[in-house]
Amino acid sequence: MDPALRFADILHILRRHDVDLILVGGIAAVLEGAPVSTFDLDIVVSRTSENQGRLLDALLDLNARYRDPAGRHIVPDAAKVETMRIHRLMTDFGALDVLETIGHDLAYPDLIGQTIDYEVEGFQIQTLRLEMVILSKEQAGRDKDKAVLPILHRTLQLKRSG
Amino acid sequence: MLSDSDPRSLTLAGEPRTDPEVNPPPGEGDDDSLILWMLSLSPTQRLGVAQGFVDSVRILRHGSRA
Repeated sequence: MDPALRFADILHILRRHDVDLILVGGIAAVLEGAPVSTFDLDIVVSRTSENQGRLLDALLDLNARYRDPAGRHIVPDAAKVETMRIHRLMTDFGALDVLETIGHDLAYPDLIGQTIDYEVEGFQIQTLRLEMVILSKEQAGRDKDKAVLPILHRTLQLKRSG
Repeated sequence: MLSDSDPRSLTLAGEPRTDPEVNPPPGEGDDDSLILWMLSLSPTQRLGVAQGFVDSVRILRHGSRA
């Protein structure tokens, strides 16, 4: 059985290691008020060498391993963190996707000015604004992304109308 | 007819459930009430809603609490 997904526990460990990250994807949309569901946590991380070290420490703390279709036990290491652009991981607290970019190559420096700080269970988490979540999903263009666009657009409309 | 205090008279969002015979067909209005309810919550509460959904599915799949 897969581990029970605990969004807050994953975020808490990442914050405890001071990983520079932006929460993106479905949970970013949820924090922005959209009633959507998701089964993983998506983050975009800064690619500085210092942050890669902190990220690796956090991933080891989370007991992260790659979600390998062949069932092999592959764990993150310094080389993988430095070179791989996407890490689709299972942790002791559920699925975590660590991304270098979203949409059309939007990376941490492109996104950092498009975030809002939310306090969640006592810690701050930089969260991608709903406008950018929508843009990233439109650019990704996958069926699962397109499926939630109507409710994301409607949430944005209602937020703006106050 | 359920009374207003009966939990069965409330939707998942805690809103009064109305008679389906006089409801309009499902549409944008249904989403609006859920969105407005989400927007009324704190960030921690919103995360809790997402967590609750995951927990509920897990219970349904595995038949017990995680």
